[in-house]
Amino acid sequence: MANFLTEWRRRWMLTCQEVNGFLEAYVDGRLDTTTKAQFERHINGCETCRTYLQQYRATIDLVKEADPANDHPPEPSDALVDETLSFLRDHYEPPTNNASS
Amino acid sequence: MPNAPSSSRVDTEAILNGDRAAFEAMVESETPRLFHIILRYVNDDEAARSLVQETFLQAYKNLDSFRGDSQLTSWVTGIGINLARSWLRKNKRQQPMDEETMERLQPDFRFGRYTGSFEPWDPEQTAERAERKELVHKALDELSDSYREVIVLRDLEERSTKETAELLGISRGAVRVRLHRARQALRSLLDPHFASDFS
Repeated sequence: MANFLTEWRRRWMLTCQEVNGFLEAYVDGRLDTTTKAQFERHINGCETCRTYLQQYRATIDLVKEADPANDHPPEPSDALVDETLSFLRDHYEPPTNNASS
Repeated sequence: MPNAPSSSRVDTEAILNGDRAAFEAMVESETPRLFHIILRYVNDDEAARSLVQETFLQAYKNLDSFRGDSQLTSWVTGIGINLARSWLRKNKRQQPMDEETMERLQPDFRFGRYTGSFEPWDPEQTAERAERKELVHKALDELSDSYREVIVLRDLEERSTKETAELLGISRGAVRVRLHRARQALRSLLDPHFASDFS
């Protein structure tokens, strides 16, 4: 009976700590169907885990919102490419066969 | 704004044979992507521009050390990441947190349940956008580089776990663990600012 209950619990119930351990995989969409169902069953019945998941997701959203690259167009201006090429041309090693000229 | 590596304009063979025009074509196609990743590391526009230039110069000077076990563009990105790390070590304004502090920012459990309780967040109601950004940057700056860079590569660059692992030279499992711990630490640092109910 005890074994049956342990197995039943393993299949149907996750602890908050186990749910926490699956957060990264859940947010990344990597959980298999069975574990995802267990995860969501727990979340639906546990306000603490539901709130923690909301904060975890909000953290990711806030990091994306604060992305320094948001202040720059997706393609930086050609000026940066020109600047870089000009810098490189100033710093390339001179060809060794010109050393004597 | 993911920045997937693009190698469409990169003629690796010509570059390795010393074709400067081919190298410059790579500079043209890779500069935007490299600028973004370095900017995300250092969060300083001027420094990022200068580090992009230095990255390509170092790549050019060290082409003979490219072993070909990754794409040339990934190798160049690796050089950029190393330069960004060095820049951060020299210029970062605060001491990054140690492992003990990192551990304290992880949630506690007793008998499988959280020991604390959590209030829902409402960031848009509790802080203006500029303030939110400042709080997030301050929190990110507190993380040690090994955690911060996983956030940069996975959450900002939106690189896969596999790519992140390859770029950082660590296992995929280590990427996942670091990402989870880093997000949880950020959550703890931001919690006092964004909880909608302070009672």
